[in-house]
Amino acid sequence: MRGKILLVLHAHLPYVHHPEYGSFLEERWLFEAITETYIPLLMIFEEMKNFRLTMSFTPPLLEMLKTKDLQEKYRRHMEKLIELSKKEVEVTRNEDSRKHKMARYYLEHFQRVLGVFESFGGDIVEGFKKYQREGRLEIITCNATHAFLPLYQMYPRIVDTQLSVAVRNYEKHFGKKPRGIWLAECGYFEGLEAFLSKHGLEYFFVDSHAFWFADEQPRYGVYRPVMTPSGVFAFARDPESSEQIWSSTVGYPGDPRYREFYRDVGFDREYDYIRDYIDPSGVRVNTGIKYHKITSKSLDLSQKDYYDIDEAMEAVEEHARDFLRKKEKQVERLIEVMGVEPVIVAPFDAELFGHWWFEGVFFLKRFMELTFESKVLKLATPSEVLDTLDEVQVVMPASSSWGAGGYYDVWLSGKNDWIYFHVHEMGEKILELAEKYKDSCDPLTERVLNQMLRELLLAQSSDWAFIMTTGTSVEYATNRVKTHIKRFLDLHEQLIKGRINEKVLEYYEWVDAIFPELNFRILVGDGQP
Amino acid sequence: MQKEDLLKWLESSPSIQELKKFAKSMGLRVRKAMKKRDVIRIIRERLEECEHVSSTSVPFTTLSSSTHVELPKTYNRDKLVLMPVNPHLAFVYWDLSENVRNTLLQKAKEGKAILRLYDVSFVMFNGKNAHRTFEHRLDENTLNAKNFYFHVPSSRAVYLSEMGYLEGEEFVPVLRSNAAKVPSDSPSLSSRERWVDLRSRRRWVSVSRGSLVKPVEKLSVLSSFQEIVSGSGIGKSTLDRR
Repeated sequence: MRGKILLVLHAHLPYVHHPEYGSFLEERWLFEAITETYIPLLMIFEEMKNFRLTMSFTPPLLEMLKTKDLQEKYRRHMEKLIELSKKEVEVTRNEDSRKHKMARYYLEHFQRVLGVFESFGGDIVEGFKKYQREGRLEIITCNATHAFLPLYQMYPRIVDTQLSVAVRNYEKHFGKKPRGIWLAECGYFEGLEAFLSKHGLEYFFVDSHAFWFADEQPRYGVYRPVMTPSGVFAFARDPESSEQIWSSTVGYPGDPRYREFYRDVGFDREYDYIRDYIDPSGVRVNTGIKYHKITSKSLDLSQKDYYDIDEAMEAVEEHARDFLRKKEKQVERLIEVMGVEPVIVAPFDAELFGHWWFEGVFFLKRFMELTFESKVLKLATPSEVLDTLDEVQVVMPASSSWGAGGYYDVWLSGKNDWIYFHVHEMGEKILELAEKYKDSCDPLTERVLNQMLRELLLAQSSDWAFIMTTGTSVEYATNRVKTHIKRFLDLHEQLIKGRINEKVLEYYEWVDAIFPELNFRILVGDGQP
Repeated sequence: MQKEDLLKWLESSPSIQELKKFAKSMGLRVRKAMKKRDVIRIIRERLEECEHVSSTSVPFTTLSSSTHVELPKTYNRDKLVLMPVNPHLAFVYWDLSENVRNTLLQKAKEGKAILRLYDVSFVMFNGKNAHRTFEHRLDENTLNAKNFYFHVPSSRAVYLSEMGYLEGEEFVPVLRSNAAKVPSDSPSLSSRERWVDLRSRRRWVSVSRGSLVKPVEKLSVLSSFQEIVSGSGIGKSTLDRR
């Protein structure tokens, strides 16, 4: 008997696209994730003989990756980065040899990254599809704009719309229906599974305590999927795997040999030298060229030693082997207690690998390669687990999330509770209008309602509330929510007063262009699961 | 910049580059072939339009300038919404139409405005059959703040809130919220297990002896909440929160 492990990477960024600007600071979130996580993942997929991995691509991320304008901006971004790397190769000739070595590494690496990007004509989603077709990569969806669904449960039609948009968007991008869904932030409330069932979704993921505190105790804890009363399957996160990787004290990413995230030439170089490669406003930003290693967590940033990628790769090898050893031990322990095949679920934010933890992608690769040789542990996808399942316990998981505290506090606190007063109201308003105009044939009315729904969906992104809680980029997040509320209310007023300003509508359609296929009539189902 | 300032600026013969840049920032589509007068024309047109749209919508509002966007304080709808936060905390917010607001404000001044929370687990609430009833007297400030956090005594219980006032000894409800179930924070006491065989579709129930795998749970420590505040990067700091 072997245990199975499901590696699940949740790839998500909020929809940030400002076509009205030549460049926009927050668009760099996407560029950094492409360069540091998504393309490096494609690179290791290409190098591995075989692997099993599950990834959720959220609809906003897919929409951005498919947007020509952002692809073009990314290309320009990379050209500048490569130009900077060339300068770095020159400049570091007279500096520490470890810096020079890394400068050459970065130049070559960024050129390869851009090469991969170009090999798919700028559309890297195509790159992932290849592995999906081969059955190595299972791609699942995520609710439309990553809304934190428990905070919309009193509005069933809104929950339903988030799911229905997700399923349609997945079909648009992948040409088939998704089997599984990643619920934004593992945000789950009792009853949500019935909505998932309605949309033909077969499985979802929850945090560990959703099983621990379920309506009936699951016999095998988090180590077997359960079936919810509505027939949808649930997988729960293994707390041990998370701890081994996430923990800020004992987690692998904190090894002294790994690259230090917070030292970057964007901040370290002379202003005049770096001016052309940071934000055009003059604000210093991370460029992705970093020369220091963590060295010691107790050291001040200015005292960090130079990074050496070969030394870091030794750590990767050690950690991949250590992780496998721990997983094998865990499986042996579990088999003894359970008497059946354990299923270990290890979900992570995709951007942890590569972006936060630079070597994380290489770690994944080595771990998957080593696991393929293991006699105790086997990589699997959720579909592979479900397709071979016979006896399963019926359990209603407990309401929960994977955020700090385990419930809804991160997305509903004194820092962000004002959002719901408005965003719920927008929901009520658009539901009233959708009912009223569902049979309307006026194309302009239809466009206004479609755009109102886009503004609503964008305002619902959990990211804005999250950012307000964590305290980075708060101004941007606040502005985004307010802007979407304003645009929504503006369109609402135009519609009810019968004075639609087509230019304004056109402008909103241009700046908030997510889901061009959207039709407001999806709001007018019965809304019941 | 005010509209008048913009018009003045347009007449101060700015360069074509400046004009194009500004037009783009307004969200206008600028083509390469456009001459100076074309760009000025489209900017003027957009400025004219601004008078025709509602005061809440300035089409060239950019993100950087929307910090001071004022959102409506009320939508003139009578509404009380109850939301679970965690097993021991619930949030309620409200919106009031003018008449109701005035009534309640008057009652608040008299010390008679009331916010109630009921435990309505497993009952169809009829106003009188709650397991437990909790009351908070609303002062004007709280009423105007339009929201309130309740510490709730029991996890996995269903709560419902009402807002109203006292008339003599009698509580008169004005608004009733939705029912909201707060999450569970402990293992179930049920001794039942339900099973299904997916191949034969056979279902059966057996006696639960609890979970065979005993989890080690994390203690929630107040200071751990601070951890998620560190870090930056792709817009969100994720490293410490899981």
